[in-house]
Amino acid sequence: MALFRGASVKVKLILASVLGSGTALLVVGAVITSYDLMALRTRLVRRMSVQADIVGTNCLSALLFSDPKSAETTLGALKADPRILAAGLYTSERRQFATYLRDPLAGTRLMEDSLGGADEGYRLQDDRLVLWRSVLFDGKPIGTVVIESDLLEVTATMTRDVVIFASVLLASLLLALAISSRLQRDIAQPILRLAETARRVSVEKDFSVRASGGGADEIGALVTAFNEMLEEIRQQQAALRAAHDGLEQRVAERTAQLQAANDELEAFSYSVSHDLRAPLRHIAGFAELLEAEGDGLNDAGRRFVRKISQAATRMGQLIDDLLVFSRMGRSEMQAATVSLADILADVIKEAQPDVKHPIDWKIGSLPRVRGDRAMLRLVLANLVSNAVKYTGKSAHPRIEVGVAREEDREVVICVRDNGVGFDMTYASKLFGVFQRLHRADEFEGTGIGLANVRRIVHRHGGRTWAEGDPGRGAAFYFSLPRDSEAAA
Amino acid sequence: MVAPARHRLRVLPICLAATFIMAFGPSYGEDASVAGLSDYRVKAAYLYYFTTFVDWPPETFSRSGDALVIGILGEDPFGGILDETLRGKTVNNRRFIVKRFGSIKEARESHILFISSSERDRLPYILKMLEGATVLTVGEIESFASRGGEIGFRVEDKKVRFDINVAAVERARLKISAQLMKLGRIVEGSERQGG
Repeated sequence: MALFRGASVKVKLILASVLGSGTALLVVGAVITSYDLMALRTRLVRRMSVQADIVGTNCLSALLFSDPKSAETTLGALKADPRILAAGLYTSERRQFATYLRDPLAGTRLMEDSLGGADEGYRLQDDRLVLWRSVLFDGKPIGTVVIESDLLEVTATMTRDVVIFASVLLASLLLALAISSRLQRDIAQPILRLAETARRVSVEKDFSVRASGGGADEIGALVTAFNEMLEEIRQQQAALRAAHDGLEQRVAERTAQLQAANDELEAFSYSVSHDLRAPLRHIAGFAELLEAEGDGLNDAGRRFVRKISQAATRMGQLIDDLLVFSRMGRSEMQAATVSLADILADVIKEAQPDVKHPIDWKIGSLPRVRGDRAMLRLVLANLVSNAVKYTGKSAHPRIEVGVAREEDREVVICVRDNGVGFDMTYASKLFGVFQRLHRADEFEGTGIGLANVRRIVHRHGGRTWAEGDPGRGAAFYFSLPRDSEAAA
Repeated sequence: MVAPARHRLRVLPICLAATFIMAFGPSYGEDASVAGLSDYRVKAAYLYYFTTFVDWPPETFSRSGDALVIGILGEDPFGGILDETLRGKTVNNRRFIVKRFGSIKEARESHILFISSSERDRLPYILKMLEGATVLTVGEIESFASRGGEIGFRVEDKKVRFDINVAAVERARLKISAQLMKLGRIVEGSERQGG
């Protein structure tokens, strides 16, 4: 049965029809054969009854006149019937009166045993029929004739029946096989084609193929439904692809627009900054001249001029920083493998710590990364100078630089100090342009350094963040992707 | 039901022995060789059985009111045995009447006439007197049949057997069935003897 379940539809169909017709034929054959057998037996019993009656009648006188020899002669006439193996005549007292044996050497059977309680009857055994009939005189039984017949006739007929039936069965099965092989094509072929199409669709993801075949029957409906489903899928896929393509296009468009706007803004801020420098130089220059010609001014006037000069200098610094920041966004990145450790050593050398309070440096080992050397230097320089600046008022300044975390995808570098720190509430504002958490007179600076750090790290594909606690110090983190190839 | 082979071999001699032992009156089971009453019981039965195998012309029954008459001529050796045997019996729906005849003339009216051994000496005369009568003559006189009687009893191998004089039967216009003929010994009847 498991074999059947695994077989193809084609084989199943052929098997089903051949098995069906074979079973039907077997049943018919069994019925006909058993009917034949029953009829044959009945006929044999009837014929033997007639024989027994004739013998009984012919033996009547022998019984009456007690002449076994005559009875044996009469019984001997049964020789004419080859089916009769033995016959016997018994008195009403069930004593043997005369016997006939077809083959005396074979000995006699226990015919006495066959005499049941009834005066007449028969018994069918495996290979013989034993039948007994009463011999009547004046309406009373005076003896019994027993005839034992073989069943060769029955056996021969049975054999013949079985041979005929087996031939018919074989021929019918072959015919059924031939017919079902032909007919199954109408059913199996469309199914096989459908299966093949389904397989192709599932393997090649080709939703444009169509199953063929199938008439007006259920298989046809199946094929049609399958094709409709395929069409549905194909259309949905097309719609999905169209939507996807449209989306990408829109994203590209928006990105281009944003880029354009950004570029415009950059260009604008650059030119503005650049253009601001000329008038500013005039202001600073004339303020200096005015200061030099200080005789015509009173003290208040000289102080005002000095304020103007200081403000101009400061504004110039701001504009320079802005131009650097702007360049950071616009300049090409020169990607190379750089050693952060080397850069850090350089940066620390340039930092000018207060000699009154020597800084306690704690430098961990730093990795080699891929990126723009100058930009990364700016990052470390900004963070280190910030740390130096905000620890300036500590009695025991300490700055740590090292790898905070190293993962498969990125490495995180931390610059930690024990300076004034900051309130975490403003952590999000730290990296903005001109964002300052401390007063300018407290700590000098333009507030553009961390904005540059963020911009550079972003351009390298990394992130920046900070942790701080007022009075206890701050920690600045930036991450760089492990696969710095991705940095564009 | 098929007996094992060794059983079968043992059965054969028993059956054969039974065949010999059982050669007696079928319904009586008595030893017919014992002289006297037993013999007559067998003979009385035989007389009864003869009626089954012999055909009388129908007109012979009209004179006896459809009964079949069995007569005894001479001394009755059966005593009551014959009456006893035939009591209540019928053949072809005919009852039996047993008659004992003194005169031969009356005896002509019977269907079967048992001629007693007492009539041994005047047998030729009796048979002559019965000529033309449709009577089955039966006797136990020596060579009864060959002397012109129709059926003569004799004892052979201690069994009661009989001779049939076919010519005499035909003269009496009787028909004896083949079944009876094959049991009896057919003898030539001499008309000279019978005459």
